[in-house]
Amino acid sequence: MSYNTYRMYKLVIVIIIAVGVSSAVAAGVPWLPVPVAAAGAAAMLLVKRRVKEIVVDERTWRIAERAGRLAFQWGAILMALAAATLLALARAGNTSFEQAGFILAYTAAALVAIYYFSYIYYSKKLGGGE
Amino acid sequence: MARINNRIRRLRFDHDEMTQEELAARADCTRQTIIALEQNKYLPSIELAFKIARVFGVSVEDVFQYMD
Repeated sequence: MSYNTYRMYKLVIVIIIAVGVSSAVAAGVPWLPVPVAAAGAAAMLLVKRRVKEIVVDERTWRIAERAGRLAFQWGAILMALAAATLLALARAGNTSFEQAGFILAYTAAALVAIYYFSYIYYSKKLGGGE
Repeated sequence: MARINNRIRRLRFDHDEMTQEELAARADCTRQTIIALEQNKYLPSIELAFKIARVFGVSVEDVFQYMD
């Protein structure tokens, strides 16, 4: 299988997983997304094994690292801002926003904590004495 | 600002017109990485630089040049 064919299969599998998970959530079947995602992951593994070329290398990882870092930075900032806005609105009288505000705030704090401990871990792993 | 140029494209043609796919397979990387290297859009790790040099049977400095 060529790399371009692999990309096509990957897109199809991702679409199927997305449709499956969103349909399960919309239908109110909370346990269905797990087997759907697991089946999708298994399908991706099978497809990846049949590719002749190397599909993941150091450049792929570097791109993923940078994209992940950017997603975290913007995600945490936007989440914190949204939480602050919702909580301010809740304090102003619209109490229906309070729960969502707190969930966003704690999620943003958890993200920052996960980043902090991951940073410490990799800093020790890669040496340097920091 | 320092830059690193490379002669990968030239070396490929000098080695029986090696394709990007062949070089990628022998250097354990993707064809997209070879394309990015030849366009000077990506700096390889030391390990990949050595692997590429080894494919061509030359030293790393013959493949990559550091420009001040």
